[in-house]
Amino acid sequence: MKGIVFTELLEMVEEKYGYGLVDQLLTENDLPSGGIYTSIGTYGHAEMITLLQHLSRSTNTPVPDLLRTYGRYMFKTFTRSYYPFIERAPNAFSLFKSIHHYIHVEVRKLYPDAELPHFSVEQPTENHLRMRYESERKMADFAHGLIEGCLTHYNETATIQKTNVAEDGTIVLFDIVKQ
Amino acid sequence: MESIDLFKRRFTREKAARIQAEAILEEKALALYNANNQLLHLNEHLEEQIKDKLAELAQSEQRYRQLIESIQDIIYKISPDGCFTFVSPVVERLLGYTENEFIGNHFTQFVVESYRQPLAEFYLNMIQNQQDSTYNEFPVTAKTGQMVWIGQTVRTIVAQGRVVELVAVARDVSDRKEAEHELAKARQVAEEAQQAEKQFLTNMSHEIRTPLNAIIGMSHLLFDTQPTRQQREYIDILKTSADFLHSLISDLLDMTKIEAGRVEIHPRPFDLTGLLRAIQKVFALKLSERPVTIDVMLDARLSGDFVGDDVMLNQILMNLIGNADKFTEAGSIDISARIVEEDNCQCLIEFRVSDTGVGIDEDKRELVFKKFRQINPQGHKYKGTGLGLAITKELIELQAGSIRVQSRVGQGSTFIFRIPYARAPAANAPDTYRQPQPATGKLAIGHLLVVEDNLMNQTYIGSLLTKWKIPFTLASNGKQAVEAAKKQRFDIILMDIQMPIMDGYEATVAIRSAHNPNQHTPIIALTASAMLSNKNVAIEVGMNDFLTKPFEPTQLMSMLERYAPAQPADQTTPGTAMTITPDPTDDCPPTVPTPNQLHRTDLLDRKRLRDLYGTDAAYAADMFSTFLNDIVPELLQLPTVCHSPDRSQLTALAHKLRPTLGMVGLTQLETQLHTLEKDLLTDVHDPTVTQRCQTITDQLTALLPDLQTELQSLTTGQPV
Repeated sequence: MKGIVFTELLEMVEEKYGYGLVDQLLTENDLPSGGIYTSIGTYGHAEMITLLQHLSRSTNTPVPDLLRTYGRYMFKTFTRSYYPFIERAPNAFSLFKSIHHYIHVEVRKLYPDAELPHFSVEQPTENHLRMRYESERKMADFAHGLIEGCLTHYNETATIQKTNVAEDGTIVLFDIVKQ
Repeated sequence: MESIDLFKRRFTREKAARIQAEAILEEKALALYNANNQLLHLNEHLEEQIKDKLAELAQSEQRYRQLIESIQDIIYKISPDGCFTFVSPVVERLLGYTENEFIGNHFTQFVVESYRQPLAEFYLNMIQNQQDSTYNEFPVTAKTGQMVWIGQTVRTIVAQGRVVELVAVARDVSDRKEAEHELAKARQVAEEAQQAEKQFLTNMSHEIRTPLNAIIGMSHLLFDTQPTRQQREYIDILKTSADFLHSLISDLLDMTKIEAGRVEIHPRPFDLTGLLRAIQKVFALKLSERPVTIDVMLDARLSGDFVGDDVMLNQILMNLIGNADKFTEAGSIDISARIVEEDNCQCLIEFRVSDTGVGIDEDKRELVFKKFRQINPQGHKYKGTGLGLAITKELIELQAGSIRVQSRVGQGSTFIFRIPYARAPAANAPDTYRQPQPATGKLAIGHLLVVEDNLMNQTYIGSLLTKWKIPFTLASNGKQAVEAAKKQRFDIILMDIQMPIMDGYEATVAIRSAHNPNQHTPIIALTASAMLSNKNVAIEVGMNDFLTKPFEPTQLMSMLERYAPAQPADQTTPGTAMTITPDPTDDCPPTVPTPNQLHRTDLLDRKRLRDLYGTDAAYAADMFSTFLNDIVPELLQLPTVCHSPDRSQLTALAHKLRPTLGMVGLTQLETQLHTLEKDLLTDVHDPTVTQRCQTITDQLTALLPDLQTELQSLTTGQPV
């Protein structure tokens, strides 16, 4: 998993709860990386699970909620760090449609070792976009937060209906209907 | 204190993270640097490759330009409407016009006017038929006005099913055209020269033989002027020398012609046994004063006509028998002929000429056929050119034959030769050689016409005829001869060939082609020319035979005997001479008719003919002639007219023609035509009519030779 996912999570934790909780997360868990993360590095996915579970316990917040919050936070980071990708799309639907065929293609050029989820998109009507998430990482909630972050960025409002296609959460359908 | 530890930990983590990030960045930077280097290198290589390719392309274009410019051939393209779209620069060197003077202009502007239309058609044809590649030649006018012949191969360029342009490779072929022209001219000159040479030979032969004829002839006549013994001796020498000179010239001329390949075989049907008998007679007369007999032994299968060159065979036999005569003091000369192989009417005939003369040494036997080699055991006693046997051998081999010799010194020689001849179909054999009349001692010739311009020759022939008590009329040229022929009927006409005003050929054609009493009289050419071709022309124009001058009295006599009629023209007495039916008790029966001939003769209704014409042969001949010339063609129209839907035409024709059949004794056919008429009356569309018409014409066609023979017999008064 790319280092940015770890560093931004810790940034968010520090922002919300202070560095004390960050130190606790890194000190009290036996992390293979030793708790040292840089955004351009790559670390095991299991460390992220460990950190999220610890954070859930410490903040008394369920992991899905944490991930969704983190997704919204992360989209803001993206708008700062990866602005060129974002500015190409005039609205949220247009950005969603470009994820698989453009953004992920470019990300792979920057980080050939990145493990990215698979997104397929269909648009039954003008205001309705259906996104299909598929990943062994089962982080559909993180994607949910990102979608919300994106809509916020474009100043758009929409209802998001999340449906698990696979029970284990590896395939999830998002029906986004603009209002 | 705790917050200090926290800071320490944070500081330691962040330092470690920075070091880790730096290491990653370092690694990435290095990778980037290497990638950049690699890219740079690739770029350089690519630029180099582009440079090379561009240079190669330029070079190729240069080469292509040079090629087009250096090629002697003009390469051009024209659009389907005939305008030039490309012309290679070489055009300027060949035609004087620049490329630009061609581009956009129509091809006809440059082509010689009379060739424009054919060339336009040529292109049009290529375009319409989308022909792949075609060659043609035509002349164009260069800028200088000079005509240049162009030879070109044109290809069509086809795109989407139609011709979009024509591409041609053209070259200047003027030199070749010129050469062809020169060659044709040279060939013509050569042919003219050859013709002139041939003419020269003919003329020389004529010029030398004519006076020689007079010398030989006069020497013969001198014997009859009661010369003294000494004079007789001188005349003898004179005659021998002249004869020798004659044979020398003949041999030399013959050999020249053979060597020039100008001797051609002229096959025609001829009577082989008749020819052999005639030769025997000539030599029998010649040998009558010497103790040498001449006999002929013939294979019974040799009856009937054969197809071959009888003139050549005559010459061969004359040479061989002449040779035998020369070397035989006493004894016999035997001539024999037999068929050694017969296959499908193709006969290989073996002739043998044996003598009891001096013979030839074994070691010299091979030399006898060599040119200019004489095997004379007695030195100069036997004179000659030494060409006789060489000529004979050449003539035999020319006819796909072979010759060999068997000999024993002191006992004699036998020359054996074989020549293949085809059997002539019996019905169609023209009556070239007739069976000579049996020697009765006196010739039954009423009147002769002698056509001869040379006074010496006139005297010679005249004296001979006077001596033989044969009446004759003299004509000095062809025109006089034709006039004389119109006035009176002759038994035989002796006709010189080369004469002023009208030559012998023309006179013969005139006599043969118009109604006159001599239309069918035998005409014998008196030719001073030794050219075989002349002899053949003589036969072609309608002459019956020929005699080469100078001839000996016996030769003329033999010829007259051969063509003498049974009853002479002037001695015709009604009731006895000119009967239509040959008298079965006739002393001189013609050839024994074959069963086939008998059958055919019976087809003529003799009784009816006798009733119609009695003994007036001329009247009968006239009727036969009219029938053959005018009625027969109409009768042969029957099957054609029969197919016409209008049957009244056929009825009219049958009615008109029926009586004419009876007039020539074709009673049976007359009856058939009558039946046809009756059939047409009852049912015009009777299907048997067509068959009947065909049968009538078929039978008539089969009878034609008999009718012609009858006509000839009526005209000459000689039964055939």
